[in-house]
Amino acid sequence: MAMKNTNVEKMYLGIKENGSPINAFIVDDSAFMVKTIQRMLEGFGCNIIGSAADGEDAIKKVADLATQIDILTLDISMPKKDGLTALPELLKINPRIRVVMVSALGDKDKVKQAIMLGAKHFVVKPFKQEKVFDIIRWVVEKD
Amino acid sequence: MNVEFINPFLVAISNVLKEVIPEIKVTRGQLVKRNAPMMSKGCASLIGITGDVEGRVVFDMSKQTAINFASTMNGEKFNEFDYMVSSTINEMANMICGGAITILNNNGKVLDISAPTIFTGQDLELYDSSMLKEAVVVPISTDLGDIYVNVAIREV
Repeated sequence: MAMKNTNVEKMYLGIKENGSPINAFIVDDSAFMVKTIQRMLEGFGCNIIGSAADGEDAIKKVADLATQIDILTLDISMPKKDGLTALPELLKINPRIRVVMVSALGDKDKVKQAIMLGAKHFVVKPFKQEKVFDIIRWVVEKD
Repeated sequence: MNVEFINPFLVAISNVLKEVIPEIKVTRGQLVKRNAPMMSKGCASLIGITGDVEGRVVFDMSKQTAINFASTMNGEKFNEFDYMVSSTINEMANMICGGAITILNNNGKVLDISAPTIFTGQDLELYDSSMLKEAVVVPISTDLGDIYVNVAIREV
């Protein structure tokens, strides 16, 4: 079915065909970014099932929630364990998680490295809600 | 300081501010060279730069300006400087530096940035390493308050 970027579609975009919401997990050391991403995803009907402030914390929490997570946003620059180091470990826990890298640095080498490590998307900050919309739609269509 | 390193910051400041606050009015003042300790306006977010060059960028503003930016960017009113205001200002600084460093890296440089750190207080003076002899200050005037972007870089 062709999708149109309407307000109604936005409200239900984060709902899967079986009626359950897309479960999202946010990994970012910035409280502002966690809040911003959460607000955007919830605006599409997604369910935020958790967040972590660094790569180490993310690995611990994702190990408990892995099978429930559909999409995970992963910041690159973080204390303790950065996003690129944590990425393969997170995918080892559950290769089905769709990881979206989020970074203020968007140079070609960083993007290439993230994709080679298994990230499905790379979003450069700052980003608009439309970008998040495209990503969620992509997750819905893949399911 | 080589203008090659300053221009990407001018581009990123304009791009990021207009992206995160589309209605904002931004005016850039004349660039000023400084070699004395930096006197902060009250809130300074500092990001280190490493790689082909080393240095730091400081985003300096009054606490009230920080509160104004945080209130607008979060869509809620903050009455005092708190953790969320600090996080918002650090993220704005991070996005601007990230944008500038991305431009430089896509032009052949190999650079990275550190996580931002914020300092607040009255009469705050920041002293650079003796290797950073000169800084360039970019004054940015907006309807939410003024920001002074202070860039000190040396080639290694």
